[in-house]
Amino acid sequence: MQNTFESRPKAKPARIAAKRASETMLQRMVKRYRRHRMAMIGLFILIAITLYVLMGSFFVTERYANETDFANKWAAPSISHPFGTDAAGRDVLARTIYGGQVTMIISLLAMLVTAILGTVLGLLSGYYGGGIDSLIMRFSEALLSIPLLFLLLVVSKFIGAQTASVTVLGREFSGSVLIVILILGFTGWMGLARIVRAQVLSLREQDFVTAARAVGARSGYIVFRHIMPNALTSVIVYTTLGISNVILLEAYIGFLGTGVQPPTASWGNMIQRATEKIDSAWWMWFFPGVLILLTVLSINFIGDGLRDALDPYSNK
Amino acid sequence: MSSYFLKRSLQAVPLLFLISVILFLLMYSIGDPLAIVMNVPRRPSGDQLLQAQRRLGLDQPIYMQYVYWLVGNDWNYVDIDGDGTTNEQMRGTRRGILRGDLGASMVTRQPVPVRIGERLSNTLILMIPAYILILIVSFTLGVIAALRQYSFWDNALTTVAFIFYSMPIFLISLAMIMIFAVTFRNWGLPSLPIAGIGRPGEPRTFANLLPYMIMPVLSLTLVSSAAYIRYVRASVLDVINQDHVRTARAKGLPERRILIWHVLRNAALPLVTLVGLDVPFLLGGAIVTESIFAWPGMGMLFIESLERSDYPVLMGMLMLLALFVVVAQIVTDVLYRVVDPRVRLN
Repeated sequence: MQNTFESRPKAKPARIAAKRASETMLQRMVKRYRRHRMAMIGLFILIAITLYVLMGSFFVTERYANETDFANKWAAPSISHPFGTDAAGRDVLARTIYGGQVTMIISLLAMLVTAILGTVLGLLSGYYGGGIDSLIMRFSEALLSIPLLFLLLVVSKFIGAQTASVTVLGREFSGSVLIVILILGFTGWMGLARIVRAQVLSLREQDFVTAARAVGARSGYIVFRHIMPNALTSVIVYTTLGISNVILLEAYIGFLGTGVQPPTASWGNMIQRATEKIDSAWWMWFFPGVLILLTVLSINFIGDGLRDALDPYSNK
Repeated sequence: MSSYFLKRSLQAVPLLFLISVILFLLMYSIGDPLAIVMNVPRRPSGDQLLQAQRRLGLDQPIYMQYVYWLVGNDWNYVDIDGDGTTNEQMRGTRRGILRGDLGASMVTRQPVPVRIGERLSNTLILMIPAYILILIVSFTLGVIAALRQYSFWDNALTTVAFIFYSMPIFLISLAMIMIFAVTFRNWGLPSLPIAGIGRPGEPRTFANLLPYMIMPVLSLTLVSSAAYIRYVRASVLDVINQDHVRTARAKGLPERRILIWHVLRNAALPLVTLVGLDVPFLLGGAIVTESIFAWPGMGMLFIESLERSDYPVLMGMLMLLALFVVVAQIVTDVLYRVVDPRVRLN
């Protein structure tokens, strides 16, 4: 990967070029990233939120977060409930912690599904062309012609929200968590597949691929060892920015009631019943809403910084 | 040009078929549309239910249901009592979407176009002003930010745009309700209604609707302008640094003329595509915004129909949206090639 980037000559003053050569590519990327002020701020905010969500587990238990107390529902923030209580008397502070874990797990895993699907389908489509290409592209066109939120809601109804709960690492999750991951993962690959395909189309005509083919490398080897590493930067940037998109979509379907099902909390479904008492219970939507905003904002900043840092042609 | 247009239109036909097949497969498993009638006080007997299923064609295998939806079933007989024989008077009544019959809602029995039509107008009341505002706001601010690149105003605008770009729309909507509807009312100031589309019984004049429109239109504008501002800014910056702008400046043209004739006209080109591709999504309304403000538009109709598995309405809505997306893509492509002679047709 390093070689392919450095083999492209760029007119540069000799002194800088000499200095550059002594750095590894990773060092150069880190340096470029650190110069991006908003990206660094974004990274700190994201670390802080992640710590809040993870460390919270040491102070409150998940059972407490899911415990209903109908005598004390819609309670305003107080010392015993700093963020107030929700429509079932559950503590909003504890739920932002466990809901945050669920939201983060969902967005990471959904994006992993999207990244794998998008990359593999894009590689297949771009490298082999022909029938596979038109099949994948027509299918992605069809899915892209349906507004995403509509598609998500239909698919979530299709898979059905009523599934048994699953136990992972000694914790019980509503089965809907798994479903939301799959729904978001399987409806987000189209954009990435198209980007990867476009990259492959131009990469496959380049000399180093011809050279690899000339020495007798098999297609699979060429695709995964020569082409994929070069398309990787776009995948990384797309996936990073995609995570923030997934968090928003999870929040929307949670808000509309087809996402993660209570008692398991997610930042999205915590806001679901906020409209019932819109004239008083502001804490129901304010805390999860602000956490979503901060997380999405910091990930967008990070993605922006990564795009600049990973682009080998930007010399800012 | 016309041959290109024709070619693209012909390609759209199989695409729409594919979309309809995917959607129909999804619809088939979203639930039983007749489940709702089982909850009414005078619930029908099992026999009546079976008959209703047969009349609606729900007993047929999925490919037959798709065929009925596509071309209707008036060429076929409905075996209403399930004895294997058909009686002459029970001919199918549906004509299929290809012959202009979108079917009837399973819940209200209204024809689908009627059901969609009444909601579509509500959505457009909301979306058209919002979109006009979005274009005005984002174009003005985007151009200002680009012309003063890296200035205080550029940085401030870009940062604020970034924040709104990351904003979940319910956060800004609920915050607005909290401030302009709830707090203002508590303080005795003139306040906006929390939600709905006018008082019941009142005629829907613009003056009556305006207070109900302000908050949903504003939240849509704030959230959607953010992405557009970034786009306009990038697009203007792209043009400003091109040679022909430098030439125009070198030959002494006044700045205003350079901006309008050389920069904005070129910067607007990529926006044609962006706007063209976004317009069909106006029809879909904004599901989240409509449900927060209880605005009975397309988004709400979609949620209601989904809850009741009313698949003729869902299919009608989604196919209408998909049709507009596909048509808008073709029109945008052709338009773009008209306004930008550098793009070759092939």
